[in-house]
Amino acid sequence: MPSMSKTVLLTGAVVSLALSFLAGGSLRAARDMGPVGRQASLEVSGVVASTGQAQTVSETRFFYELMQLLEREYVDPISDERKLAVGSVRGMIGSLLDPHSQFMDAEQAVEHEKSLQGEFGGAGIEVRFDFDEAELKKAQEKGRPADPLLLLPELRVAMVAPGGPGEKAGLKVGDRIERVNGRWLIASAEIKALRDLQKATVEGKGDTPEADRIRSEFQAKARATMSPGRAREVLTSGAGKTVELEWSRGAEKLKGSLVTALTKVPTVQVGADGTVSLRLFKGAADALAKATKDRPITTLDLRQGSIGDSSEVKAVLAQLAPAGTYGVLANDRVGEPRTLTLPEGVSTPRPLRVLVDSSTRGAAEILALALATVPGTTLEGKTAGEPVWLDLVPLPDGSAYTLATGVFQAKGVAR
Amino acid sequence: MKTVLRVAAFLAVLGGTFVVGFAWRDIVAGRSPSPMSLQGLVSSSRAPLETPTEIFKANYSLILSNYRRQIAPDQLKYAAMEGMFGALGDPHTNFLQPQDAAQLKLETKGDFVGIGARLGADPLGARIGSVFKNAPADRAGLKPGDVIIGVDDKVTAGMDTDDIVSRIRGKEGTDVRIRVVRSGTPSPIEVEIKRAVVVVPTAEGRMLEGTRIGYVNVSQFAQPTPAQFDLALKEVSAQRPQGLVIDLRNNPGGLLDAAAELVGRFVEDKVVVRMRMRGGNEQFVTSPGGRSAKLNVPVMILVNEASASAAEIFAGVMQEYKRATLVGEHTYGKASVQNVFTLLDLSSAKVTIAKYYLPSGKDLSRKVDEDGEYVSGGLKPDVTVTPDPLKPMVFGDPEKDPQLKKAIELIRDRARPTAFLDPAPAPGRPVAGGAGGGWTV
Repeated sequence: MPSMSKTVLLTGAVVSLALSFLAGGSLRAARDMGPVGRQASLEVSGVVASTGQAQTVSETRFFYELMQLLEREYVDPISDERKLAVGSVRGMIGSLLDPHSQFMDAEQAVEHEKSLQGEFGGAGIEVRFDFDEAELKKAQEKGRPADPLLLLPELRVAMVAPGGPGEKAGLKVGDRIERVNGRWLIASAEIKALRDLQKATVEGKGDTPEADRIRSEFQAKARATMSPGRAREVLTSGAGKTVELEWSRGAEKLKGSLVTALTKVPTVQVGADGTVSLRLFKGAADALAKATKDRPITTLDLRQGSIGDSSEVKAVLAQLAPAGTYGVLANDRVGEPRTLTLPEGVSTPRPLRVLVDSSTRGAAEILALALATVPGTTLEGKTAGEPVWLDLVPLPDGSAYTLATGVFQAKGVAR
Repeated sequence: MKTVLRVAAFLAVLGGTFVVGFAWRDIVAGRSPSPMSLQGLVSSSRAPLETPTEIFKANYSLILSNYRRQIAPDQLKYAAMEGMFGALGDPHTNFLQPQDAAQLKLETKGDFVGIGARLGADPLGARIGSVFKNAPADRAGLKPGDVIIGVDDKVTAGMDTDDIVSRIRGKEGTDVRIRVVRSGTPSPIEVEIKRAVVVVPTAEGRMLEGTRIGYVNVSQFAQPTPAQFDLALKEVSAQRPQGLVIDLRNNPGGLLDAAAELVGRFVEDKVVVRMRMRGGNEQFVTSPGGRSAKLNVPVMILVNEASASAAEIFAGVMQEYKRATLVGEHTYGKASVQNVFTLLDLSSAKVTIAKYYLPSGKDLSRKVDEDGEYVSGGLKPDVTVTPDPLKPMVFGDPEKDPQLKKAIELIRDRARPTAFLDPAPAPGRPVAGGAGGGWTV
């Protein structure tokens, strides 16, 4: 009899030990995965297939299980799991193949934050990536580039900060950067030209002097190249470094050198003739209100406004335009798009001239297009044609990304 | 009193087991538990905690519901997994979406159901690059250079090669009608081909025209490669060659076992590679004994920057055991072993599980600068030959292949082989050098 109860006790002890181990494990899974994870952890554990049948796996569980697989199997111990999560976000943003939705590591995020406050490092310019539109569209539809080389963008100047090293060196909006510190930026157009040439050679039609010239030119460039992302970093961050540049404006080839420096661009500047230059940096609305308190604004200059904070648009608009709906942030998702609506505004708008050019893009362009619908306001110049609304999303490790959530379409004042 | 103590002790052990269970993930992963997760053990409010899974989940939902374009959830999920694997900074640890996973499986298995041809892109449809010997396409009379303009009743002009490939592939034993144009033939040719299991030729041998030198091209290391290599060697040996050229250029590697097997044809019972596994323990892979090809002639191995992995092991081991001279350009520099885990949705995880070293202890791993350009790594050939980028190159044709030409010279000029040692490093390579892989159907 005593031996019987001993067995029962022992079994009980072993069972409760095992249960406590499992309970600990499932609490951990629940803690790691969050609310949805609690449900998911009840399913069979592990994502490694045992049959040839495809089964669907929810994205959260998939992520969690794959993270564990890496931790178990990868040759080096993984000390920082957060790196994996941030990597997944980088992957998602990258897969959008969207020139406006960009992932920034912690360092780049700091630079971005600074430029949103009007502080530009590097050459004191903003740059943009110019992709082959047809290739980009094809890749976006397929969800991946069929040929990554055909998605090598051209790097173009999007904004030149007044007084900065870039302006002094002679850079203008729209210029294409071709060479940085002796290294060439190769774009898809050059790859295409070379491919066509190779094809012609295979067909026995490529042995002309012109073909040889293009080929050897490309070969020379290919020996020292720089990625567009790296070139952007050189041109938009840091100070005190000499940068050798070659760039083109249409058919014209230009070269020069500059020393990088921090360029501060004021949010609001009032010219001698009363023209108010505005850039939609953080706090733009407050700065505008302060500057125009005593004298009414008649001319608003929105040029060189390539970078801006979308969240400033409304507050600025409210100082110049009456309440109403100005348009929608169009997207191709199902459901109603967001609108740009002012609950309050000025009662009677004054006549206003708005100066724009191809450096007026993003938030500044949205503001310009919205203002253009106000009676009495005239738009002078042509905007860049990219009124994209960007959300800035920070991540816990200091990195961040911009997400294009819509393209502004002006509607005219509805009320 | 004693019972109370016993119960208390038991409860303590129980609590301990609970904590071990909680930290089991970290124990398996070989690290100390992060403070963040320990916080999760004691605190019941979890708002300030951001576990990796939560970071992923929050941003996944945000992007899916706010991005200006409609995106397929699966596409975003897979991109996230690719990004997670990418965060390790190891170019060989990859997440493969189901279609890529299937392709990898097909490549390493070395056989598939199809017609047995390699295709390249063409404005009219697809151009046949090569036809596998004795495969259905070969028996039906298709020739390299033919351009496919129709599959069944579909005109292929302007179609993506991927789509044409999926139309040609199908179930074993079914028929596909293919219409091709051939230069020199006025009207299109139409053939009906029965799809069958095709073994991809990964090792092919022949005698170089006008010489007594054998040439074996190994395009990858797959399951059937050793048997195909044996067959190729047999054909060549029958001609009593004075030398042998093994072409490993553009060979991306494959199965380690296949490379060890091939080494065994020249060097028996020797260490092929030393693998350092997770946690530091070492494993050796050795070449088999008793399967030597007994070919006592000079061997030249052609390599270039696209020779990687198993190809580098084979070439490097042959070089270290002084059984071959390497001719060409430096190799890629891949020095790690991957395991492929097939996942529930038939995607797969390719994970580096070990690093390897040549028998001498040499580490081949590739080093790149911040722009991803090659700095060092890989095998250095004994004789460096860099092709002139301005001259069209035809692999395997001594007249239009300077690397092969050099190998032939070296075999003929065996009297003073060391005179050709060239210490100069190979210059950089063009980013758009290759014409791309191609498709297999």
